[in-house]
Amino acid sequence: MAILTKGKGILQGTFRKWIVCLAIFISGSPTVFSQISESDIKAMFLFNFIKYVEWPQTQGVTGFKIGVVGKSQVFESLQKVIAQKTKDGRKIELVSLSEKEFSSCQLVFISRSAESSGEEWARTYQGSGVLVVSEESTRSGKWAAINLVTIENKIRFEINQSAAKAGGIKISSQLSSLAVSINP
Amino acid sequence: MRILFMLMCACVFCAEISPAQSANESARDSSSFYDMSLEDLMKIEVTVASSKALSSRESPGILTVITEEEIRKSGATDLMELLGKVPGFDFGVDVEGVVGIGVRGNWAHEGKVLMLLDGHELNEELFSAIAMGGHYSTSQIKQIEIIRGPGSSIYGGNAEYAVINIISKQSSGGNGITISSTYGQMSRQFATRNVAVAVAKPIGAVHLGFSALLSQANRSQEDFTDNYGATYNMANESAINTTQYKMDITWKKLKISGFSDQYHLHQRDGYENNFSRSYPTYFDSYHFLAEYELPLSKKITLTPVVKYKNQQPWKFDGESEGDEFTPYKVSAENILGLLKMNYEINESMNLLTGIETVGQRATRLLDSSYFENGNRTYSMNNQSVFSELMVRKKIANLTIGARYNQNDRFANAFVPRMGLTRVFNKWHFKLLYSSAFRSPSIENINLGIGIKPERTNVMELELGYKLGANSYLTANVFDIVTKDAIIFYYDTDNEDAYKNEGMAGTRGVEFEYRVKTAVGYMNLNYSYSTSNGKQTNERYSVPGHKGVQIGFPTNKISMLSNIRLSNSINASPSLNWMDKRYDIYTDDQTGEDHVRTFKQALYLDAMFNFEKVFIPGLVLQVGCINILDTKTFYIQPYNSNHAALPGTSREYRLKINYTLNFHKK
Repeated sequence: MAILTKGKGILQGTFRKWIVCLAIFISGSPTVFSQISESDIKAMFLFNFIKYVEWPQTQGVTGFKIGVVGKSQVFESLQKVIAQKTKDGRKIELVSLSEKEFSSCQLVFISRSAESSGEEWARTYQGSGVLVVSEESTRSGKWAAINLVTIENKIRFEINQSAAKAGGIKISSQLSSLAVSINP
Repeated sequence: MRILFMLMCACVFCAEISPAQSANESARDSSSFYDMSLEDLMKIEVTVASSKALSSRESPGILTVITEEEIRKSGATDLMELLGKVPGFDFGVDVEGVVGIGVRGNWAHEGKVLMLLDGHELNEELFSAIAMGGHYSTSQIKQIEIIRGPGSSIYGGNAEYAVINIISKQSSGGNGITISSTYGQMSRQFATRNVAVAVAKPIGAVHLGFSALLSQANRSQEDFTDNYGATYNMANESAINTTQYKMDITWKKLKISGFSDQYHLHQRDGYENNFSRSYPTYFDSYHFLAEYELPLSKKITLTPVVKYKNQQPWKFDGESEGDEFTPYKVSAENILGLLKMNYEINESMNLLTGIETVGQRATRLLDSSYFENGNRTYSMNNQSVFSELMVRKKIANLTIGARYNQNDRFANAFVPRMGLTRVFNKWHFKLLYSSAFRSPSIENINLGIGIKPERTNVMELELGYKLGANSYLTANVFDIVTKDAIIFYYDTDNEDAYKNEGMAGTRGVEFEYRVKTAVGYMNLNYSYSTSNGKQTNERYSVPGHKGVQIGFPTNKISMLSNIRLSNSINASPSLNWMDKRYDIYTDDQTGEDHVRTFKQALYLDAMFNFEKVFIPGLVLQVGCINILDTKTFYIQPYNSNHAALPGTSREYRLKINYTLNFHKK
């Protein structure tokens, strides 16, 4: 690599000054930073969806629970999100759902790895006031109220109103206006 | 260099005392990601460097992303204003008043930079050039993504030095209408005035987008003096009129787009000697694109793409005084078929592969006008296959790709690419090797003898440090070597000609510092390039100034920033500083070449933005561009005896932008 072997030619005389400059930048910099991954962004999408969805009033339900179906990095990312968040002042609970274990949730995330069983899960929660969100799915049109998609390498989402209705929840028009597509 | 060092230290000092450094700010930094709205989250990823989503720190490319907020708040009217703030990007004049792009000290106007607008390839077909200035309005643009390095392995033969990917507002979702207008006045003449409208609306499962732009600009109001001493004032002789329409239809995974672009400029500067009056040069283009994302399985997506382009660039079909301006009217068509397959092998491996076929045909439309082969039409066919594998591992991300290109008019090309990137806590590094090529254009081949693709090898190393949740510093070094460079020259009959000759290229370093806090943001960058040891032909070098390229500054500093003054008022100061530049002119009497020096130049701009002051959705912007009234010159970056073309002077600008969101029932 010529630029390295001949690097003196470029930086001659000023190289040390630049290094000093860089060092000053670094030494005085704040230290808080966490890397943002795709799953972190998706987790934040899920959290943001909560703000735009109306759940039916359910007696006896005190907390807000998010269930994740299938093996997914989004679960770990959600753990980080809910560590800092509440829903209407209530702590958010996160559970990993498996076929053997049913848990009442307000939001169920069907990860990519569990897409094949997504419809079954959606049926389980039908009419019970649950927002079902799928991930990069091409077959969730009938059962997931929201589908996270990657378009031009940015995370976007599709809305399926009939699936939302079947899930017993109401999606605000504000959220719909941000969706890439809306199926009636 | 001492001044630069002091400037950087000053910036360091500013960074050190910025509010981001306070304890409260640190707390906010740590949670800022977790405070992001959906709109913010939708902006995070970048697209151009790779087929698979990666953050900009992981992407295997040296990237600059200019966001919607930065575009809007900068008050820039034209794409060129923003590209001028990108590290390593400069501009020069070609001929006929046409201004083109330089990248990292290299003249890249003809076929070395690929510009895309929502997938439409904007380079013209005859010379592969992109005419800049008063052409692409910022009012239509949502985001600009720039690879400041080669992209041939994915993007083909025009992506030799850089790729500029423009994403328009109405193509990327939305539901509303935006109407905007700009007026900019210099001391004696308007600099720019335009009206633009963009509408986006989902109707059932279909999303419709439409935009229109009517723009008028003047290149300059200054005097232009050619190298033989003839002078004219450009005030009424350098008009640029642009009319554009764009339509986008998206239905599920199907995307259809049409783009009509009429760019008409007036010029008297011609080639060497001034013309006796101004003449128009037209660039008319019609683009069509259809793309369908077909999921074959959970892991495999097939995307067929069809593009069609019909253009008449560099057109002049009028009559000139004493035949001083030769008529040129050639139509060019390009039809492209592409089949891409994206295979997500597993969570850590992704493969993109594709096959592409392109047919190009040019037709001479004027009587008695023929190609060198004696025909009125000239066609060529190009086939290529490309593939890119991305492996994401904890230790690092590895990208390996290549393109093989076969053309029936010139030699085959094989361009591999490799990238190693890693993010570790606050640091990231990128080690990139890219081979690239420039496809000779129809007129390159027509006017050249045995033209073959020029080959470029680029090595890049980037080191980045995340200073806070919203601030980071990156530094990169690059080394560009172009072999068999395609050179424009005048042959023995004084006619335009092209040939492959020798080696060209540069090496250098770029620094970028980006910070965003509650009070605003700042994007500051410095770039340095030298051709020392990289040039074997004299077309681009300045005699007596080792390592300096004609027309481009060796050192450049740029800044885009914004300061929040109140909830509804903010200010956007920006600057461009360029080191000395040089051009070469031929003494009319002796025939000897001489070097002319253009002194260091500092350009300061300031725009004040009044957002939602009067009615919701209304943004009013007022300010001054080129506050110091520094002389602007576009220098011809090759030795062809065209004098430097003046640009705009101090300009007072007013922009009005109104957005109405359609409410759903």
